[in-house]
Amino acid sequence: MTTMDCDEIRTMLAGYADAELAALEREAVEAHLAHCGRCRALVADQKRVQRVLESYAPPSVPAERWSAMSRRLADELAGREHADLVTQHRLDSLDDLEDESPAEPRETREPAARPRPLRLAASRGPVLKVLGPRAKARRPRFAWVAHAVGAIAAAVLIAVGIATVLRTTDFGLAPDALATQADITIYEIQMLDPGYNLILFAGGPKDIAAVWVEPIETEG
Amino acid sequence: MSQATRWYLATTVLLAGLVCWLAANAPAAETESETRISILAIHATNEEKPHIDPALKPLKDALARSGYNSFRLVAKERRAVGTGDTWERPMLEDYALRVIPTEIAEDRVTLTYAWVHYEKDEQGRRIARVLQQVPMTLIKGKYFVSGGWRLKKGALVGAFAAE
Repeated sequence: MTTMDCDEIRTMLAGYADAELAALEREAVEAHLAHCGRCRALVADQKRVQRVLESYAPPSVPAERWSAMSRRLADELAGREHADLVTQHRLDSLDDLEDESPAEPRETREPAARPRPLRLAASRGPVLKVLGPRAKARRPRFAWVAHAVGAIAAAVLIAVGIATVLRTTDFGLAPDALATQADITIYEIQMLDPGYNLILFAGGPKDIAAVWVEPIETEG
Repeated sequence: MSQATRWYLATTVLLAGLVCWLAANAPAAETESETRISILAIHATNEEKPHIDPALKPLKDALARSGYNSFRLVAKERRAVGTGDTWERPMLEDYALRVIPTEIAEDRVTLTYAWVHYEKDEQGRRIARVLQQVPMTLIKGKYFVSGGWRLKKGALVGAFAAE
């Protein structure tokens, strides 16, 4: 028999721990383990885990308890307004059910008139999750309210905007009247820029009033 | 974030925006010492084919005295201005027209208008140089025309009225 190294042996350790190896392979592994402490430790760990797993037995739940619990959940979903019903913790503490007598009136209760569909997702152990159909049913109601409030706010905003524009906008750009000499009184004209000549139109009372300046053309 | 929450958030933002907008745009209560002033900015040029904006047709006779043959309305604004307030409306090429009502009566407004030109001093700071200052009384609803200030091309004309 040739001596195998640790890498080769470790591929067979699981089978060895489960006693699934052929005789020759088992002898080879045992020959290696006789002088390799690290592989011996691995085998010991594996066997310890195996013992723990073998000793674990999930709690048994009588069939009538499951059916009672399903009815109860159906009743709750049909009659209550809870958005999410997660029964994980409820099922984890099955002791609560021990206190209830199987002969409770609940056992004889009529099933709900319109039972809600339950979506059950089982995972490891006695775990039952009920996804929240109520939450999905409620969401459109909130969305409707939000739509309404948003639409009202938008309508108010548009109305106020239109009112403001109507109030402040002068649609006729054309000035409708021009001041004449009779419409104005000029007290003083201060020309502070020497680069301009002042031209003041002052004729009769009905003449248009205007104050113009004219740049002084400089020679050169 | 659920759809309903998003809607609530959007609605809240919308309402908050509405409140802010209303607060910013709420018209000041018009008092007896306040009047609305309209200012027009007009660009006057000489062109081969004379042109005058239709909106300026009523001012045609006054504008014709400027020596230019084409006039374009480049800005128009109306604002409530109180006694003693100064409204300075930027016009064209660093020019601005200031209007300061000093007395407001039922049918007329006494005000001072001033043409201002913004220039840079030796240190490069922007300073306002007053070109012309005119105290006057104007009947409400009548436009008064003033201008002739030199632009790169043509001249600047202003017109204003009180309501």
